[in-house]
Amino acid sequence: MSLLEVKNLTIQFGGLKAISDVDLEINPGEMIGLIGPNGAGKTTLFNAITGVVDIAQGSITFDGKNLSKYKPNQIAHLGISRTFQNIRLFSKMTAEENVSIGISSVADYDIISAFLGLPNARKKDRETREKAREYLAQVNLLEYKDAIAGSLPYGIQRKLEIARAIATRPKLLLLDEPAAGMNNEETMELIEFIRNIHRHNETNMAIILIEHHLEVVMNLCSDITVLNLGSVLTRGNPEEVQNNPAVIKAYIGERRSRA
Amino acid sequence: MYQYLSGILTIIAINVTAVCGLTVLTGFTGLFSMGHAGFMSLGAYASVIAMLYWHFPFIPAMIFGGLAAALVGLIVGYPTMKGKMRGDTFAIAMLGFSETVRLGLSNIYPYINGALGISDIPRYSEAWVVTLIAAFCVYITYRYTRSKHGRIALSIRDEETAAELIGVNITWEKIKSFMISAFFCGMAGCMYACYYTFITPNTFSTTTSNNLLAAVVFGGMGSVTGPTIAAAILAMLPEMLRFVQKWRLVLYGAVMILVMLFRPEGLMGGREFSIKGIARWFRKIFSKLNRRAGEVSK
Repeated sequence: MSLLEVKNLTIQFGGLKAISDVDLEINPGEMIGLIGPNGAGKTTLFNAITGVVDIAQGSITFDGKNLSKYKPNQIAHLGISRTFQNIRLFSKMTAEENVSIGISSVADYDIISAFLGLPNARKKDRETREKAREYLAQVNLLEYKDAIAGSLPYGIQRKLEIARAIATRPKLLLLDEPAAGMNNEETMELIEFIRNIHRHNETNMAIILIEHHLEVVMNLCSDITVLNLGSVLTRGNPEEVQNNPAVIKAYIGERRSRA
Repeated sequence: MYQYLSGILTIIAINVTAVCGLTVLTGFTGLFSMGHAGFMSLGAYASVIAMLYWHFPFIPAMIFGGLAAALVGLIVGYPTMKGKMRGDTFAIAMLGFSETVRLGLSNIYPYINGALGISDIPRYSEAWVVTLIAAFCVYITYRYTRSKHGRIALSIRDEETAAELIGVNITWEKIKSFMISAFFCGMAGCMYACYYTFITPNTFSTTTSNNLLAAVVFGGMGSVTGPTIAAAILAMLPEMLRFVQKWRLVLYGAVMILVMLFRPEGLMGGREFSIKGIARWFRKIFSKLNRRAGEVSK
């Protein structure tokens, strides 16, 4: 059974159809790419999966559950986690605290224990802190644990955001342009980083990757879906997609009309 | 003289207690309220009723006042947080809330005498008692903000969307912060009533709300000790400026403007006051002086 099944999905903003009739499927442990020119509806698709925007038509099923009944925070608890195109870290908190929120986004002790600093609260705080350090060590960010997230270098912030996302132990991870604004060297490092977390995780995590850097997608994903103007243009393996004249037209054609 | 000083100490303690609550809501959850005087009023009235009619002792009555305010906080908080109010809309909604409380209490005559208010309240608020209570409140607020509950609140202030998509129930977490702030303000209201021995619906006005909010911003968002110090300073300032007589409130305003101009992040700016921090600060200054001395001697 597939992990996530998007069926005939249509999203409307007023009169504008941001996404129309899109189908998408992903199995546990898979990594698929989602590419397409600007405004193709890639991020909107992520927003729909995470419950941020309302669905006009169609359905999204995750792990056998229809997601339209759930609120964004409940969807996160079902096992979907994401990063954002523009980094959204808790910028005033330390790296360790950022990951801690991912690990326990609902406090597991009552308010009275929190106020009085009772031993059970402190013990749970300590456990979460240790686990956060484990996650940071796993992604080689342990040296930054006490740094304020907003003051970290750009590339590290990207990685930290991914670390925070996988700290929720998701079954599905949505990465929205993780390589945006990175140079070649940083991008190559990020590819290795993503491959690493995909291989070594406890939940047989599936990943959907939105990316403009084609080399990232071509490198990481065996299966690529191309969106254009809100609908699926084509899907296939990297070579097929790369040599598909419709894809080239969607990308180049857009560029010509802009000039 | 002793009475004068203990009076100032009492007022500081009352302010600090109320500010403890507001710092959880504003400093840590990022919701600006211009109407927490309403909760002080409710807490004061509830505890006074408990004391005069049901013969509660001071501390239980104070906690009862806090709980009554927190309950109203739940009733007001649910629709406002569910409706995703924040920023300016929330501030204005709270302004409306405090006015509603004021006018509502002015028009209820049984038990509370409407606009005339209640007098002959026992004077329980000894300076040392309220100071101890305030100190305890600062401590537990500090503990709370370092706990998971506090960190989750802070995540909402920093990046609400990300917090929600990572699994934080932002509606409930905001209501929680709101109820906690109402609880502390309610307790402060009770302490106030037991100091002045009479209350009217106009005792806690918009000015009170504004002073509380000013103390939080003045002290630094995301800090507990900062607003505590700021609340103390703001309570003392009108007294310290008595020598300039009628100009004192003008000076009070000028001080506020100057602080916000030169230190927009507030006194502590998200950090906490600690001995270690002071030592670090001195070391920094000394090393700077040393370096400068070195440059001069070259």
